[in-house]
Parts: sequence; C-alpha cells; structure tokens
Amino acid sequence: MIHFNEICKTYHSERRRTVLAVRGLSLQVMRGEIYGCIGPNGAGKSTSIKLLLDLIRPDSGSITINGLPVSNEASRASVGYLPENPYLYDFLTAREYLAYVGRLSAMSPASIRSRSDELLAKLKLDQATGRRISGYSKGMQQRTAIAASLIHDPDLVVLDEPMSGLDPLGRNLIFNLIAELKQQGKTVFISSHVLTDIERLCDRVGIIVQGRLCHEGNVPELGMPLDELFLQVVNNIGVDEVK
Amino acid sequence: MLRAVIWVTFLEGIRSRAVYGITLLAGLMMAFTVILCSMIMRDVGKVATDFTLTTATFATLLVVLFVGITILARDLERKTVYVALSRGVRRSNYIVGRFLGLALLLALIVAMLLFASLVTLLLVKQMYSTFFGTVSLGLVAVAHLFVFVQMVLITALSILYSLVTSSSFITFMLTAITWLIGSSTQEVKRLVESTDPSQIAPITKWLVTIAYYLFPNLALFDLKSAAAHGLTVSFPHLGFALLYGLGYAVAVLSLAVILFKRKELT
Repeated sequence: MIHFNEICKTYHSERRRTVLAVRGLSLQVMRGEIYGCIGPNGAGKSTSIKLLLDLIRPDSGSITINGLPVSNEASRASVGYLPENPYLYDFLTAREYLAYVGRLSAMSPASIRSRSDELLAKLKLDQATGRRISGYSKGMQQRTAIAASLIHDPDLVVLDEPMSGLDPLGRNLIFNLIAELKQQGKTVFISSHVLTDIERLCDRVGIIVQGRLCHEGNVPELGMPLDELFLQVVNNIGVDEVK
Repeated sequence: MLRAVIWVTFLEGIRSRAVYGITLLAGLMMAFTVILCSMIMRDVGKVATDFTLTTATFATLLVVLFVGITILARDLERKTVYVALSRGVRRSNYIVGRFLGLALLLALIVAMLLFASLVTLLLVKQMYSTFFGTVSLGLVAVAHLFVFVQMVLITALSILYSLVTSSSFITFMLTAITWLIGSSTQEVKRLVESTDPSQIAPITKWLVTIAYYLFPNLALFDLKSAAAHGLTVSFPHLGFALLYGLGYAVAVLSLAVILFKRKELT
C-alpha cells in the first residue's frame, strides 16, 4: 500500500545550514497492516509523514500509495491524516468542521451527516457539537481532529502522535478506535512515542534514528519488550555515530 | 472540493470580529455624512458621494488587510492547510477557493455598503434638496462595483505576498504599500510628464515609469469624481477597467498558484 523507496530529504535553515532529515529511507506497509513508526525526537518521523502526503518533496527517491506516486492527488483521495498538534478552524462547530472536511472528500451531505453522527458519538463529542471548537479542551480538539481524519472512511489512516494531549480515557477511546480500524482491515501508519500502545496495536514496527530506518520487524517476533529494543537500537546508533 | 474551501473562507470572514468592527465603523461614518452635510452649504451631494465612496473604499481595504491577509497566512502558520492537501485537494484549487471565498465576502460587504451609501445619499438629498447638485445614483452603484474589483485585485496580490513572505506583518505592509502606490501612480506620471524635463532628474522619471507599469493602476477604478459630479463614464472605459482589474487578478493568482505548488509546507 505504501512504498518509500530510498528517500532522502534535506532541510535548509535560514542560516544556510543543511540538516539531513531523512537518509535513504526505504520501507513498505502492506494493505491491512498497522505499522508503527517510532524514534527519538527529531528522528525524521514527521518528515516522513509529510513526504508521504506530498506536503514536502524528497531530494531523491520515490514514494507511492497504491502504486501511484504521491505527487498525484488521486493517490491521497482515500487517506485520512491526523497531524501532530492539529489546529482546527476554531470558528466552526465540530459538526461544521466535519462537514467541511467531508466536502473536501466529495462526500454527499447525507453521508456526511450520518458519518458525523456516528463518529461524534463514538468519540464522546456528541454533547458538544453545537459549540464552537474555540471553546473545546485540548483533548476534545484532538478527538475532533481524529473524527475528521476518519470521516470519509479512508483505506489508509496516517496518525502522527494520536495520543498527544489526551487523558487516560481519551487514550483508551483512541486505542479502541485504532483496534476497530485494524478489525475492519484498514491500513494504519502510526507515529508515536507511546511505545506500549504501539506494541499492543501494531503488526509491524520500524525504528527511525537520525533519518534512517535502523530496525524493522514483526511485533510478535521482536524477542524483547519494545521499549528495551528501542533503547538498545537508539544507543547503538549513538555509539556508531560517535565512532 | 473547491466549494468547500470557498464556503469555509466565507464563514471565517463573516464570523471574524474584525469584519463586524469594520462594517460597524463604516456604518457610523455613513451616518456621520448626514451630520457633515449639515455644515456645508454648497455641493452637498458631491461631498456626500465623495465621503460615502471613500468610506466604502477604506472599509473594504481594511477587510482585505485585517481579514484577507490573515486567512492564508494563518493557514500556513497553523498548518490547517494540511487537512485539505492531505486528502488530495489540488493546491491550485485551494488557492483559488481561498481567493473566491474572500471575493464572496467582499461582494457581501460592498453590497451592504452600497445599500448604506444609497440610503445616506437619498436622506441627504431629502434634507438638502436645494444644495444637493447633480449626483448620479446609478454611477454611485457602478463606483461601488469598481471598489469591489479594486479590492479583488488587492486580495489576489495579498495572497501572492502571503506565499512569498514568512510574516503576515510584511504581507500587510506590502499590500498597503501596493495600494498606496497603485492609487497614485497615474497622477504622479501625469505630473512628471507635464513638468519641464529640465526640472526632473532622469532617475525620478525612470522610477515613476517603472512604478506605473509594475504596480496596478488603481486610479482606473476610482469613479468618485464622476459619480459626485454626475458625469457620464463611457462604456469602453468601464469595460477596459473591468477587464484590466480581473485580468490583473487572474495573472497574479496564477503566479500565486505556481508558487504554492512549489512551496514546501514544513
């Protein structure tokens, strides 16, 4: 479903410094798979997601979704994306926001209405649909953003730090929602720091350090708890870099 | 998809406090026209027309500067643009949708201001019919249409500036400066051309000529004098001004689309 092929991406700062954010990243996510992308801060996880969604362009390499290059808008028609720290249009109510997002995906008004009702109830937002988003708590905004990413029933869901800003109840809600997506056979690409959730939810996990995919494997075959493996991989890379 | 972007832009505009404030201020200025006219004993109609049209121009300019500019700049800054682009909305559609949403907002505001202007002028005419003079209400309506065209052009430029600068303050300044220069280049060029060449440095003449061709000629859309004096404006002039304004806006918007397609949304 997703194919990153030898992707390199460099950022140029205002002081003419260059930062190699992604170095020769190659990975594949199969249809119906839940793929967890983990790594320390600044490892290149969010950059990889932005590359996947064609928000930024790689210096070299190619990325495809369902065989279509991501530069082709049609490749993203069935993608749901939750950005890290999502900003919503706070002058809208949650229902209006979902209507906007649904219309962006060319949904009919009737299907927007029924799908909004379903998601707002599932995410425990049905009591606040008449209020403007500006009056929502951080967790409610995060849940609204998740509802927006799922409104058009996408085949591929890309979640960047989905648990960010959520209380334990909210986290549990999202956890169950992702588990439900897994049961429905959806493909999910998650970037997260919450390793316990990744370990419980994902079929496969990739550890990115300094822009490189340093370790990849099926979760049941990791041989040790994910947090231990993570530390081991990150520390080894750190030693290698010093050498 | 395009309609969704137009709709959300229009909603963002009409729910903005700045729009309410500016429209209220414009309404108060129109009301003040009636009081102002009571202090003048001649050409009351001309003064009232001038005042209402100037109010309409400034109010819509303020809407562009305080609402139009922030809409796209905030989109890029807060990354709300990600939601649309990540689900396959074309970047060109996004820019055009934002532009058309703002144009729709401006159309609504200009229509409201036109209504307020006509009510004010009719009231002044009723109160001071002897000193009112020959004001063409039809031309007042056309003048408002050209205020709209002028602001649509300025909006297109502000979108372009939002994409090339990193701060909304710089966009604000560039848009305001463009409006100031664009409103005066025609007059300055005429002045330079009618002055003895020995009294003007060649560089000044050269700079004025460059500014005249580089910036939009906004004086073309200024029908205040014609409306106030009840003069007739030829259809070819109106047609040319309309085509010039819309053509300029389309050209600027096309450039903005090209830039946005290449922009890295980090």
